Amino acid sequence: MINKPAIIGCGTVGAALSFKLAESKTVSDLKIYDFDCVSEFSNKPSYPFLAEESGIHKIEIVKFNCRFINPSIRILTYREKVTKPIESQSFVIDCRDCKSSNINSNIRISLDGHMLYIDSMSYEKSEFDYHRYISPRNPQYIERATNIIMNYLLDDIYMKKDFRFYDLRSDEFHILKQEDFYGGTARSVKHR
Amino acid sequence: MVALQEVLNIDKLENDFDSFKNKRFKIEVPALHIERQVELTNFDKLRKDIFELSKQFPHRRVALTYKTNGEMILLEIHPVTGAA
Repeated sequence: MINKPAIIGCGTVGAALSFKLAESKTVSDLKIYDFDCVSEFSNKPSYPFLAEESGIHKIEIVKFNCRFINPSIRILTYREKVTKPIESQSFVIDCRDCKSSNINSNIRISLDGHMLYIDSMSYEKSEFDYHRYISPRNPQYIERATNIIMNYLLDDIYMKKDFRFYDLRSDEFHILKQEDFYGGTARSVKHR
Repeated sequence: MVALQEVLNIDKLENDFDSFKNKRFKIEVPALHIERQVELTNFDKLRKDIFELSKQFPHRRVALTYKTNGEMILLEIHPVTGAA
């Protein structure tokens, strides 16, 4: 299991994963980074935030809930927009919507509807990518995705250095790219 | 708008293509609720269909998944959101 995780971006995935890590009691320290507040202009903010929390910084809400779930966990919050690498002591989990800037993360996670992508490959500089979500948020998929991510971390699957797609409608995942021993990319494989 | 640049794992599909002969083929784009029956003549035609459908997304990359139930190949196209 990872040691000293740092979650960058406390939107749906980052917040839900923080709660799950707190609940699992597998880590004693958790760092969370986000610059944003819960939207004041929506009657129904993104999961897991509530309308009553609008205008409050997401990291404060996540910290409060994590401490409520697990009073012994130590939470360090950073109210900042991360666009460059943070200090390297932590296992960095990039949950930002837009991941165009390299922050030297260990894994990068994106969730859009039933599509969960987890990338543990070495970062390749890419061009600006489209990062608006096109599929509606579904609490069942979010719960399933969070469980998958937790198992991924508990089983150290990130060490396989691949880019995988989990189809949350089924139990299937597909390895889209895989890093070979020398850091190049290789085959894609389907699994169940 | 970001132009489509990469169809992930299309190389694997090309490798598996020969084993799909004499099977019916359906392409789906679940995020856009698109279904299309395609004629399986050659891989270049299939590649063209996949790229045509993928261009409906503003994303830079799409991922392919496919499975068979024996007679039918179901191929799905998924956008890769957020440069994961």
